[in-house]
Amino acid sequence: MKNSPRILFLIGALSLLLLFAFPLWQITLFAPQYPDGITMYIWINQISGNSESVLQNINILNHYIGMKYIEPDSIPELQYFPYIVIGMVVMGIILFFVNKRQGFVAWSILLIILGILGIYDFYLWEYDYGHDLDPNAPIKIPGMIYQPPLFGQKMLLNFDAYSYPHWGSMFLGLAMVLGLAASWLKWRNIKKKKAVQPISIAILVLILFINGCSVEPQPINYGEEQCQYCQMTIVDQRYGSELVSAKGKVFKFDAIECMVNFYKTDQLAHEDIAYSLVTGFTKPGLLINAKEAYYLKTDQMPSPMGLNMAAFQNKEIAQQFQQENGGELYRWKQLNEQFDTIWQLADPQAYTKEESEE
Amino acid sequence: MKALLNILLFIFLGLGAVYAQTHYVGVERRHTSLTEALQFASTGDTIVVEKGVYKEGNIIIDKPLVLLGQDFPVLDGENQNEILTITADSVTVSGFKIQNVGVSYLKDQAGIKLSNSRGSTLRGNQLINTFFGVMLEESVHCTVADNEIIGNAENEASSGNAIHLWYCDSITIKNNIVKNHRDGIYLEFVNYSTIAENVSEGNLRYGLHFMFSNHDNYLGNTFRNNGAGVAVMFSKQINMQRNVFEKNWGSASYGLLLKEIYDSEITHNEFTENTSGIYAEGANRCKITHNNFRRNGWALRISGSSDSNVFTKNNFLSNTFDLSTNSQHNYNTYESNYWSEYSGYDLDKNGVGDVPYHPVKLFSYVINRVQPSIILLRSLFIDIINFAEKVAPAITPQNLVDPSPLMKPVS
Repeated sequence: MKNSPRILFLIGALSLLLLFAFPLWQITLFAPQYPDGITMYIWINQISGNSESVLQNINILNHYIGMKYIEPDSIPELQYFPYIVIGMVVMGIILFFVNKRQGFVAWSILLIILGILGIYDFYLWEYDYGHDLDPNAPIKIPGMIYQPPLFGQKMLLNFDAYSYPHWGSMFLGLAMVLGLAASWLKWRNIKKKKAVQPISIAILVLILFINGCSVEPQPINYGEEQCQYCQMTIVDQRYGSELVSAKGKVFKFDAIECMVNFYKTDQLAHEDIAYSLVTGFTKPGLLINAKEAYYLKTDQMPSPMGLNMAAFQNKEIAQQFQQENGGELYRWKQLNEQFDTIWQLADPQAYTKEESEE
Repeated sequence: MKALLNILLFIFLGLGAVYAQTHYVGVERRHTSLTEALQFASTGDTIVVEKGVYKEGNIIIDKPLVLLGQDFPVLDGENQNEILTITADSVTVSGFKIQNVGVSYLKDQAGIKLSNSRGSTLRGNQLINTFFGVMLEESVHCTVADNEIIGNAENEASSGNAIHLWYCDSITIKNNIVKNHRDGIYLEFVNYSTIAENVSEGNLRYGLHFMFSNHDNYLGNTFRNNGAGVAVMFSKQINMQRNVFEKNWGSASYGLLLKEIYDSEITHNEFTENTSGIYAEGANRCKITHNNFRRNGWALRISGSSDSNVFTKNNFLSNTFDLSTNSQHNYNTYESNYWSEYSGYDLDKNGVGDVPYHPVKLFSYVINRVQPSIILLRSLFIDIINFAEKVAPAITPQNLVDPSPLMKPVS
């Protein structure tokens, strides 16, 4: 057990490498037009979104209020921060071999200072983006600034912005904790104490970190996942639907009718549903809030499970499709209240039932 | 009188032959495009299209005609359009190479679409990179045969079905090769139809997929390397014979998936190397006889909601599990099957084992409850609990038993 502090220290140093695998911070914006939110991830070396076009969408929104384009290439920190991190890892490995308490302490303190500087730098960028606005912006609100919060929630116009650390920061924190723990154990080791407990505690902390769960919709993995209700592989990107429970469990369906049918089985208590999502017919692959969608049932547009119903994100598009194809429009509430009647009228199995009664 | 009739008939037929003309389409012909020839053709004529590439967008055929391709002329949709749309009866399309249909999420565009057609034939065409290959809507007595329909393998997720039928009746689908689509062959509300001797492979979802369809036969087809082999859902009286279901591996993969299906027959099929040979949920009154189940993970997975099915004269050869169920009750009949795991004896030499065989192992029941326990497969511990359960059954369904297991495989 004599080696345990230095091993702990090495784990801490190496966990910095995970900064390249996980984002440090996430900023999520919720708005009526983005009910599931759009999320921007800040990494040590890049800025990304939870889907391909997120950064583009955020930039389009920002342009209305005169904010500068977020160009990852124009942020020098993203270029040189990775070198600092790699430097710290290399230094950590060297100190592991040197195995001196002063080295451990110095490294940990340096890392903490760098972390604080990094957060301060992030704050300065947020301040810069939020205050430095184009005077010729289409939307101008006197005295309005658009600085997202560093930590927590804030309303910016009609946007609800949430900003929280992501895994990357957890691992950065872990590196600091393990560095300090190793320094302390080193000091304790002089008194010949076993360090089993701190190691197991460190591992436990790591496991707790990794097992954190979140209540968020997940994108449907078309062609891979099965419908919770009818067992069919979900393939049609115009009809995928999803329910997310308050505990973060996600149920995916290949059609609106499967989602409603599942909803009616009461396998999931209705008050436990955090999100009900459907796909807008004209935006394949993108989930929208089921409660705000418009539903068109028309036999001109066959849906996967025979109800022939499609969802639309707004009234205009739904009405346009109704003019072209006929059929009935429903809102979510009506759809649920009248589902049994609608399903019976549409009942694809009636077709099979008649046959068997011959 | 009869002679006179014959003469009249002869005259009429002769006249008919005179009036049915043949039009040629080609670079050096009077008509250089198919669209043009279609305007000049009248009912019952033949249009012969010579070798070449024809980019004419969406071509609509609204009268009974015969279209013949010489040396596979190419009809190219340039990734924009549907190519052939047939709205008339008795149209024949044969010998064309049809390629590049536009992908659209708002309309289901096809290489060849038959809409409200009766008695049409699509034979011996090649369809490449068509969003939906051949699509039949509200059509009856049509034939789709000897075609080769190859999708775009890189982009299966945004591809349609190779052969797609919706509200059809009495259709024959024979000897086609369908690859790399969403479903190889998809039938929704299709009755009294036959699907025979096709090869369906490499499709993203199912090799063949029935929804709400009754009185159909599928015979002698091969389903290989699809997401799952065949799915029969919400259907009645489907006759499945002499098909081969092989190599459908994956956590949600089956040779044959049965869901809400009634009064069907599954006979003389080969289920080889699938994660689950047959997975049944809500299957009722089906006869499953003379099939071979070889080297599957599970030969049969029969859920508690399946009832009054009869399994007899099947061979279960070297499967990891012959049978698994999620219920303590059994309402199905298993008798006179050959189980390679059977270790009983036959003292009276009548070819039937003297000890009844319990095909459900305790361990398969455990796996159904606790998936990760599969890691214990083939361990001594599992052999011991399986043996204990065999000697004194406590958990597995008591009445799920083959009272007359065969000593030799059924030939």
